[in-house]
Amino acid sequence: MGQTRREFVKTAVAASVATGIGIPVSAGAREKVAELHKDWKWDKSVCRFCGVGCGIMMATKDGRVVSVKGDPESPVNRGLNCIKGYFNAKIMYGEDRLTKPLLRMKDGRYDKKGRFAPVSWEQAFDVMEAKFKEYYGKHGPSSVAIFGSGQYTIDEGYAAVKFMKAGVRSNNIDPNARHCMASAVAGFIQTFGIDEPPGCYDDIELTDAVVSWGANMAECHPILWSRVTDRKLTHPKTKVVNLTTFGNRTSDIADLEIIFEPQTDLAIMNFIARHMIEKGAIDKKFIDDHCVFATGPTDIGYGLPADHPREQGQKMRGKAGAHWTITFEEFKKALEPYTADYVSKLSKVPKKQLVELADLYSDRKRKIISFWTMGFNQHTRGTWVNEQIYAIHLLGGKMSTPGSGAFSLTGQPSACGTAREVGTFAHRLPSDMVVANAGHRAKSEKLWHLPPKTLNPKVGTHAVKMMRELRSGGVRFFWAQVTNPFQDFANANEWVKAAREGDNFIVVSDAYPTVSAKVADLVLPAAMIYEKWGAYGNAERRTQHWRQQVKAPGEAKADIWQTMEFSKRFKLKEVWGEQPLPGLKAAGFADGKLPDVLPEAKKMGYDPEQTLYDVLFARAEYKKYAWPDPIANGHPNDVAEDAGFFVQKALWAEYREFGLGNGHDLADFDTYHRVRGLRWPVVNGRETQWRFKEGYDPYVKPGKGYDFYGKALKKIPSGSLKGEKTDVSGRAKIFFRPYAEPAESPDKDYDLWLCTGRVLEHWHSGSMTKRVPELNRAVPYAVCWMHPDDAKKRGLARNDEVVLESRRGKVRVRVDTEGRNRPPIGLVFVPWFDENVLINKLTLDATCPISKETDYKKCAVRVRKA
Amino acid sequence: MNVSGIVVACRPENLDPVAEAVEAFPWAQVHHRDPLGRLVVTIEAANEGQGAARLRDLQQLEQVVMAEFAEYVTLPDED
Repeated sequence: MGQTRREFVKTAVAASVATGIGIPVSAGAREKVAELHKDWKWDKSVCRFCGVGCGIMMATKDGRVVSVKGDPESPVNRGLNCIKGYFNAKIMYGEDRLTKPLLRMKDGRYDKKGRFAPVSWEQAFDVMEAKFKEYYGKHGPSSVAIFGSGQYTIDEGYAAVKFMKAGVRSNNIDPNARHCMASAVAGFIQTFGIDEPPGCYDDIELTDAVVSWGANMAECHPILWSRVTDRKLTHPKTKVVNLTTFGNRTSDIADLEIIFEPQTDLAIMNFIARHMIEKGAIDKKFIDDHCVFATGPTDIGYGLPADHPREQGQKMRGKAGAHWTITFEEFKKALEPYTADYVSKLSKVPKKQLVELADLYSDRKRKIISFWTMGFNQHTRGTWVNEQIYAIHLLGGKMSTPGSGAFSLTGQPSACGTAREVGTFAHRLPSDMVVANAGHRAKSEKLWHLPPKTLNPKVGTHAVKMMRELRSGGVRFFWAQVTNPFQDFANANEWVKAAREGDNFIVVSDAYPTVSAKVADLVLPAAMIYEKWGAYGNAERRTQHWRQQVKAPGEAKADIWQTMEFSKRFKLKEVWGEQPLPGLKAAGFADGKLPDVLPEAKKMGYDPEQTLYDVLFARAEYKKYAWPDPIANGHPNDVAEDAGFFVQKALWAEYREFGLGNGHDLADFDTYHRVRGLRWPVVNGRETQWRFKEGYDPYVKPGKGYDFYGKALKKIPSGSLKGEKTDVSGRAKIFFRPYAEPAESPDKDYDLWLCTGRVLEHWHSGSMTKRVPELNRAVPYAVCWMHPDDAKKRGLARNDEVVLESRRGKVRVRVDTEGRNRPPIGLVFVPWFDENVLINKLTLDATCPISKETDYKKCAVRVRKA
Repeated sequence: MNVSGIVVACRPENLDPVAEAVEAFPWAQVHHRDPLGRLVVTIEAANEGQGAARLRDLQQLEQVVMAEFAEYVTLPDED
């Protein structure tokens, strides 16, 4: 019988998979699939991990997940899962799941030097409220901060922004996406005036060449890479190039692997642009009709503290993003030094390879896509290098066109959907709006029903600054949600010390006892993805919603519940009165303070005794969204049960208003539960595959061909920073950016480059994937990959334990000289998922001065036998 | 027992040798062949971890350009 059952299951699984990918199966096989699944409740959901945004199907029975499969109807992954996706359900069942709030206690009271003890939610919020109000009362809104996430669901990110910006009037909310996508954002805003990729994944099946720059897609975006592989197999003309600072799995199917010296991508880009112009391979009409040339200052520093030696003489540190128009002739002249000889010497790439690459971009008949992730973004010139790749595509007229485009991949599942679109950054508001713009604040105040001048016009502290201010005492209340900052931040020793020894209060909401939870003063147990309703937005602008599948264990609660519950602790009179804000200078505001808006609030019908929960979340119009709702189809919603209304649906309806009519249109809540996601702008029920292109993008008027209609930064000086303002509306900018030295390079004391990143089996800081036994066994610890000659020179062999150290810290780690990663001589690669090899103790907190994103790919280290 | 459904991709001309190499593993079975260069394979394993290790064996076969999970089922041990 066992044999029969096994054979039945295998036949049924195979038939289910075949059907999912479009291979016909017999009626008998289809019946077997139905029989196998008969007691299971299947529902669509999304993968918890990277920014690809794969759809999954999840089966539950008796309150537990019994099966996960790639969603055959998902246009993203078409039924496939990578190994992490396969284990999605298991991330919830780690043995050390947090199920009760934990507070540092001594003698029955909170004590920063105490040991963790379980407390009730009531006790946890009592202490949290007292500490928040202590610092807020003494130092004002700039002393409190939330460090959020590109893994926030859209609704919980929206709730956090609303609580901080509209509620306590602090712009100190910034996501871990600052470490991940900020350079991409700045590149989009500077070039197009609007965020996020114009193209989509459909480009892969239409292209003739794929160039991966600083993105090990085979390990970090495996399902998308499977689509690239499929294209290469079925379309023999397709060329694949892997540009990287060390050999990796992405090279396995590449026609050309180019290993370059860290930071010299800037110069390689300029060589390509120069080569295209020299070969007459630019699309003059496209450029004349739709583009403008631009450049900016070069002495912009490295995002380090002002007293750092690297920052001396960098006169334009404060105006790093400023730029002005130049002529084509000036652009061409600026490229002149970037000859094949010069760039080959600088980058250590053979001339033949440089020319082969440049010829691919110069081939007028070839469609081409460029992909990138952290190699570009985590870069002290991350914004520049993003701008440069657009420059190359725009020069060739190969942007926003089916099969051609420069496409920024994302690392987190909702870096786009939440961090960027909702605007959980220190400078942003929803839908690409910014706090420094009076019109944007007014629109937000209207949609949020706030008295005028409630919103704070001063940009808050970005992520890296948040940690530096934790050290200096500027930030004293710090709440991390859906992220693990004390493992994530470069130069980690500094921040752990600041958190543990300073006069501050650290709250960490998480599902597991991460490094950050251990650093915290209060740990709040969080519900995980399938234990709550939510939505993510992936790299191709696809918004995808899911329903709660199972209950969270113990007293773990969704992050949105935590934010809303905390908002009940604040009366309007405590936060909407006059507040000190050192350094504030803005039109319509007195220097150094936010105005008292309570009189205006009273006129609007508010009572100063009302809580932030009453005015931000439990509004009468919200309560019209009743729970239960037929769209739930029998699925639970613990947050709605507790609130008494359909919180997520109500927040969605309000959030959606921000984007309608301004290029960020989203569909209504229920629609997303019927489809496999939609790519915004969604206008008249139709999604948009290629933005800015006539025939695809409803915002481009007939006859225009292309319209780069993004509104930001379109009135810029011409000729120089002091030139007359010119309006470049409707055009994309082709930037010239020069090569610039890295912030830190190997020298005689620290003689190796350190590059950090991911491996396929683990995701981010490993807080979830390390809890899946199968993934943990596959890659149980981080290793230091190095070239065999580098190992031999230091008397090291594979598996030797070594001390790897920089000027900032050291770790013990084992050496690997074989396997999936193949560093060149002079560079080592260490993944960052392993808290026992806390590699960010070594990394340097230098950032791109425009995007404020840290460069995790380049610092100087040395290695010795342990 | 764990049964995983896997999609294996190769060049269309390599479909037969790849199918043969897959079936050389006692725990793997080819169920469907797509002339475009895709095979639907099941892997039988004691648990998900062994299934994952066996997937890696398939990924490392010569001429296999891609192999990824699509679906899995865990059955009670007595099966």
